[in-house]
Amino acid sequence: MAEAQAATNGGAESGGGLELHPLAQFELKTYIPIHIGDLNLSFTNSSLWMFIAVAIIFALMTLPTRGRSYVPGRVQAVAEMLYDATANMLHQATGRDGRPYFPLVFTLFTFLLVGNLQGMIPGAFTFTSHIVVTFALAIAVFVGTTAIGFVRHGAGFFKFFMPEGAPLWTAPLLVLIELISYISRPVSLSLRLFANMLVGHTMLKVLGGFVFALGVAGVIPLAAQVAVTALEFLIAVLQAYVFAILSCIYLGDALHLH
Amino acid sequence: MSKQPDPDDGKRTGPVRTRDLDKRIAAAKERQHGGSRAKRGSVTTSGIGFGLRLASELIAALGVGVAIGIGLDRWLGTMPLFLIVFFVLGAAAALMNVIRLANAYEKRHAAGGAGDETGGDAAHGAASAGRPMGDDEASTGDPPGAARGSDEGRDQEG
Repeated sequence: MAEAQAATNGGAESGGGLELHPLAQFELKTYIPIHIGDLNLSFTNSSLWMFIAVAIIFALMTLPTRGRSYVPGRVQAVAEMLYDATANMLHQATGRDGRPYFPLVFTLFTFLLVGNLQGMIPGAFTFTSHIVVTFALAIAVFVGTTAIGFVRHGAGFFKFFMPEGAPLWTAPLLVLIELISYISRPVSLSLRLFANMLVGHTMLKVLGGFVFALGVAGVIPLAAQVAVTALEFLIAVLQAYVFAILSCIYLGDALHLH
Repeated sequence: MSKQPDPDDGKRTGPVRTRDLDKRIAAAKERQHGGSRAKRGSVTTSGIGFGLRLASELIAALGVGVAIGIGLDRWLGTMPLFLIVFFVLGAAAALMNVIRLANAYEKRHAAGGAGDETGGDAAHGAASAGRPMGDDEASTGDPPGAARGSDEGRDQEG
C-alpha cells in the first residue's frame, strides 16, 4: 500500500516538478562567442572539456615522469602502461613501418580515452558524444592514411581496391564495392564511437529518471543503473581502444597494402 | 624491493643496483607474459562489442552507398537510377565488410583456442574478442571470403 502510494506520488512528481531531459546533457552551451566571418568558433562547453582532457593528459604524461624513476610511482605506472599498450597496438597492426606514426595514434587514443572517461563524471560534458567531433577525427585519420598510402605506393595504391586473384571481368563491380567499403571506414569509425557514447549516456539518464519516478520500486532501475554505469566505464575504455586500433589497422593497410 | 639485500652485501652502489633491477624486471616480464609481447594488449570482452562493430559496419557501408547514389542522381538529374545501383553496391560492400570481419574473428578464435595468439589477434579488433562463434555463422561466412585470403594473410605478418 505504502509502496503503491509512494509510486503514485513519485509519478506525480516526475510529471510535474521533476522534469526529465535525457538529451539535455548533449546540448552545446556557448561560453565565449567567437565569430570570424561566417565561421562560428565559439568557445563552448565541448571546447572546455576538450581543453580539460588535454590538460589531464598533459599532466599525466609530464608531471609524474619528470623524476624518471626506475621504479615508477602509481601515476607514472599508469602513464607507462598507456604508452606501452599503444606501442604494442601499433606494432602489432603495422610492424616497424608504423613507428613514425606513434605520436598520432597515442594522441588519438589518450584524447578519446580521457574524453570518454570524463563523460562518466556527473555533470561533465562528453565531447565524444557529438558526431562532429568523432567524424572530424575519423576523417583526419582517413585522409591521412590515404595520403600515406599514395605517398608510399604511388599509383600502386589503387591495387588496394582490386582483390588479388579475382578475374579481370569482375573488376568494375569489385572496385566499386571496395571503394564504397573503403569510404565507409571513417563513417563506421565515427558512428561507432558517437553512437556508443550517445546511447550509453542517454540510457544512464533515462534509467536515473525511472529511479525517481518509481519511488520505492525505484531500487530496480537503481540496480540496473549501477550495472549500466559499470558497463559504461568499460565501453568508454573499449571504444577509445577500438578507435585507436582501427586507426592502426587502416594505417597498416596503407603501409603494406595487405 | 629495493630494501632486499644485494648479493654483493651492498658494497657497490647505484648503477649496479639498477642494472640488477633491470634484469629482474626483464625476468619478471618473461614470467608474466611468457616472453611474447603480442599477448598483452588483447582485451577479452563479451560479444557485444563485436556485434556493435558488425552493425556499424553494415550501416556505414550502406549509408555511404546510398549517399553516393543520391549525390550522383542530384548532380546528373537521374533520380532513381544511381540510388538503386549504389544501394545494391552499398549493400554488397556492407556484406563484404561483415563477412571479412567475421572471417577474421573466427580465424583469430580458432588460433586463440589453440593458445597461439601471435599475429592475427592484433588486427581486426582485438578489443572485440569474445565468445566463439556458432557453427552456422562460421559456415555462412566462408565461401565469399575465400577471395579475401590475401587480407587475412596480412594479419599474420602483422
